[in-house]
Amino acid sequence: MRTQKIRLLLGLLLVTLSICVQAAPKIKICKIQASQFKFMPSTITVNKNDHVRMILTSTDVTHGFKLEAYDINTKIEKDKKTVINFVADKVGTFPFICSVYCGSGHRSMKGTLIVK
Amino acid sequence: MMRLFKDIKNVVILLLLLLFFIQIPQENIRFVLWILTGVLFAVITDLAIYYTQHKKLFLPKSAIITGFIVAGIISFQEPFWMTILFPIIAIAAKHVIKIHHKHFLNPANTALFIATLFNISLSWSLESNIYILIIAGLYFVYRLKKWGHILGFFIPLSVLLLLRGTNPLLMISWFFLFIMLIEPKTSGIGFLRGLIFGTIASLSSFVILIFIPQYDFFVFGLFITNLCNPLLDKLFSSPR
Repeated sequence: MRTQKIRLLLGLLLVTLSICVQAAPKIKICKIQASQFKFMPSTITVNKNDHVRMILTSTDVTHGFKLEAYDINTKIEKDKKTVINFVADKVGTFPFICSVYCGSGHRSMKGTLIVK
Repeated sequence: MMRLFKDIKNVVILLLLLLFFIQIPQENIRFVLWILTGVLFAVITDLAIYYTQHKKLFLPKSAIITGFIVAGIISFQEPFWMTILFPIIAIAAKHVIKIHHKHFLNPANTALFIATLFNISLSWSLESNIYILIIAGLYFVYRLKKWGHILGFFIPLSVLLLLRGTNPLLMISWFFLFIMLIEPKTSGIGFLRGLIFGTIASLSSFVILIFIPQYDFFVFGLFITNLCNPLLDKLFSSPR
C-alpha cells in the first residue's frame, strides 16, 4: 500500500515536470557584437513567439541598439554585456540601428531582425 | 558660376545636396521624402515668420541649410511627423530665442538637442562622404576664418579620445566639425574667441560622452557652448 502510494506520487511528479518542461518557453539566445561600424551578425532570424535573449557587446566604443518595432532602445558599453529579452510576437522584417553616435560611420550601423 | 560661389551659403547648399544624392542609393524612398519634407517645412516656417514681420518674401537659404541638417541628422526611421516638427522648432528657435535682437543658439543644433533629450535617434545620415566633407569643410574654414574654432575643438578632443584609447579620426563627426560648429552667426569671430568656443565645445562633448553617452555628445556639447555665447560676447565685446 505504501509502495503504491510512493509510485503514484512519483508518477504525478513526473507528469507535472514534463508538462512544465513542455510549457516552458523556448529561449533563443542571440549574441550580437557591435564595433565601428557594424553589427555582427547583422541579420538575426527567429520564429514567431520565440523568447529572444539578445546579448549585446561592444569591442570599442559605446554603441546603441534600437529596435523600433519592439520598442527597444539601449546602449552597449565597451567590455560590458547588455542583455535584452523580448517575445518575437510580430512576424516580419524589422530594422535595428545603432542609436548612440559612435563615429563617422555611425549611419551605416544597421541590421535586420527577421521573425518568421 | 563665380557669382554662385561668392555666397558661401550657396556652396554649403550644394555640398548638402551632393551629400544627399550620394546617400540616396544606400537608403530608400523614405529617406528622400524625409529630407525633402524637412527642408520644405524649414523653408515654409522661415518664410511665414519673415513675411509676418516684414511683409516681404525672400529666398531662405539659411532655412534650406537648417532643414537639410535637421532632417539629415535625425534618423529617417523615426515617425514621419518628426521631420516636420523639428525643422519648425529649429526655425522658430532662431526667431524667438534672442539676446539683443540676435539669436545665439545654432538653430539646427537646438532642434537636434531637443530631439536627443527625448532619446530620438540621430543617425547622421547626411555624413555620407567624409572626404568630400573634409575638402569642402577646409574651404569653409578658410573662407569664414574659423581656424580657431577647428583647432580649439579638434586638438583637445583628440587628446582626450586618445587617452581613452579611441581613434579620434574615426570618432569625430566631420559633418559636425565643418558644418555645424563653425556656423557663422552663432560661433563668433576672431581666432582667440574661436579657440575658446571650440575648446568649450570639445570639453563639454567629451564630458557628455563619458557620463551620458545615450545623448548625442556633439549636439549636446554645442548646445552648452552656445549657452556661453552671451558671456563670450561680453568678454570679447565684438558682434557675432
